Amino acid sequence: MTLETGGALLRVVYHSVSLISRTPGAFRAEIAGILEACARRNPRLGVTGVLIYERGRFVQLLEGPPEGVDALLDDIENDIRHAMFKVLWRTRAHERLFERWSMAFVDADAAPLAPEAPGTWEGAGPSELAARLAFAAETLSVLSVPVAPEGAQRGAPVSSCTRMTGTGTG
Amino acid sequence: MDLHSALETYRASVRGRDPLEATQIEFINLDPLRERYGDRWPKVRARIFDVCEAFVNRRIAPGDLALRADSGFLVLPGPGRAEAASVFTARIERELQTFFLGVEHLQSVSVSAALSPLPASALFEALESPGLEAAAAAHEAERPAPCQPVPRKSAGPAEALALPDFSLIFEPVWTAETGFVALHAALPLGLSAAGVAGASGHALAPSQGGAAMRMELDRRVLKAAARVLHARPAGARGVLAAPVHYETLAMLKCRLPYLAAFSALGEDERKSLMAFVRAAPFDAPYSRLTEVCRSAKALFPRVIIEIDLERVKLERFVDARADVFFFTAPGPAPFSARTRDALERLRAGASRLGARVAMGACQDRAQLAAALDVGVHYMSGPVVGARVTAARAPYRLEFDHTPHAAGARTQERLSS
Repeated sequence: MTLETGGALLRVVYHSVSLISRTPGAFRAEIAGILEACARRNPRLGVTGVLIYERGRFVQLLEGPPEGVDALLDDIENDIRHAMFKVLWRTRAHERLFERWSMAFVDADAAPLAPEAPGTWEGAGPSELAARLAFAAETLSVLSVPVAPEGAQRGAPVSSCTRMTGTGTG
Repeated sequence: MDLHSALETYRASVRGRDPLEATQIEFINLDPLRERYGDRWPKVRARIFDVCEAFVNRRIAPGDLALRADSGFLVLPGPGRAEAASVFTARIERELQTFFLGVEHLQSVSVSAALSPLPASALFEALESPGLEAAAAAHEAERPAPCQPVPRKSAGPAEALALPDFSLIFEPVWTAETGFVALHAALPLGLSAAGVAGASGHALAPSQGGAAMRMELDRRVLKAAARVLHARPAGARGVLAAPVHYETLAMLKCRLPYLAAFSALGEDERKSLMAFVRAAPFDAPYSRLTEVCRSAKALFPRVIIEIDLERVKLERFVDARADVFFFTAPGPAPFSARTRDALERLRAGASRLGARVAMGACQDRAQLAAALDVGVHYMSGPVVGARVTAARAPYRLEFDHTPHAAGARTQERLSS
């Protein structure tokens, strides 16, 4: 993990193993919940980045106001659909790498890897992570959401917001 | 504006005005309540959400859609809203806050409403994207890839469940007013996961698979019904009712993929498909029934909902905008006085709500006459016709029966 200082924005890349059930429909339902929550919440918090699903792994880059990014990370780390949560890169930044929030499926038709199988993301350095994530967002994105306009960002304190992935029916 | 025009306008607003100016309502300071109520918190929380949902639903414009989320609600603007999104958002926040101040145990709860740019059409497209389709298929594949040494055990016994193949069969529905059979109710029929032949409807989805598996079945049935419509000659299609489980529409994470699947269908198929909501609990709350029916109404031209004739509480549908209430025939004719009362209440209540009434499993002419006598609008069952493997083009079906005259006499004669 790289820790840097400076810049008003916080940029974090994490890696986790998906625990979504293999029952028919479960994957689609859980991804729908995640997409809906991210699309609804991240832009309003001013958080941009990209979420990748690759063979049973989630890799996500989040960047934005530190309190917003950290609140999202807390929720993700405690989410029962994520295991083996690990931050790969955490740094302060002056500018965003991603102006929107996107999601992409990489190597989509390949079977998920076993949880203990070695992945290809953990050993990557910051520049490689950024490049691979940007490539996925550019070429494989299925959803791309712009950050909310300034006037739309009022509202609840970050600490009280909806859990990112907890989008059940209440 | 008629229904089809309204529907087209809504679709256009979803497709062309992306992102939608959705209003996100969030409750703040729920933690003290959670601590105060301890084990009772889930029930108290559900009650709070029910009350608030009813409150919100009475303050939104026709065509708006209020969806329940984890810590509040999301209101999607409909085509009929005259208020600017920012004005509506400020108003709903103010009114909810005032409401909370007037309820003793809610005084500590704050509410925040904010405009949220929800990319509704982009979300639907993402949920029907080839990338997600491929990833879902790979994820659900029964056999792991060679590089995957062992399947994960973390997700429990549901891992081994599979959704069986099925074929669609069709039940003709007769319209009393016109004498035509133009609607068929589609029903999946196949081999159940337990190996039972002839399993139909949601019984095909193993109950252990939960709502997600029923949603997946509903999606596949919807697409199969659309393929049937697509294959038929234009002008001879009639209308199909596609079954959808109540929970598929009640749970946001299931509702989104289902509605995305509907949204991805061709225009002609969408116009010819009705949502047939099955298995709604008779004691489902007003707020959830409203949300379920309205979310279907946002896209489907018509919504039919299955009810329990004896136990239904029609006042809970007052804001649901359901088009048809469907019930199963209550035993042989002549109907008992209690059943006739229930039928009268249903017909009168549905009429007040601007809805119609349908009866299924109609066995014989006596039942038909009795049902017509109380004003049932649609009929299905053996007396109308057996289930068929291919839905016919609209056709006339004559019964030697005159509603409200012969029907009444028949009922009296059979009762005596």
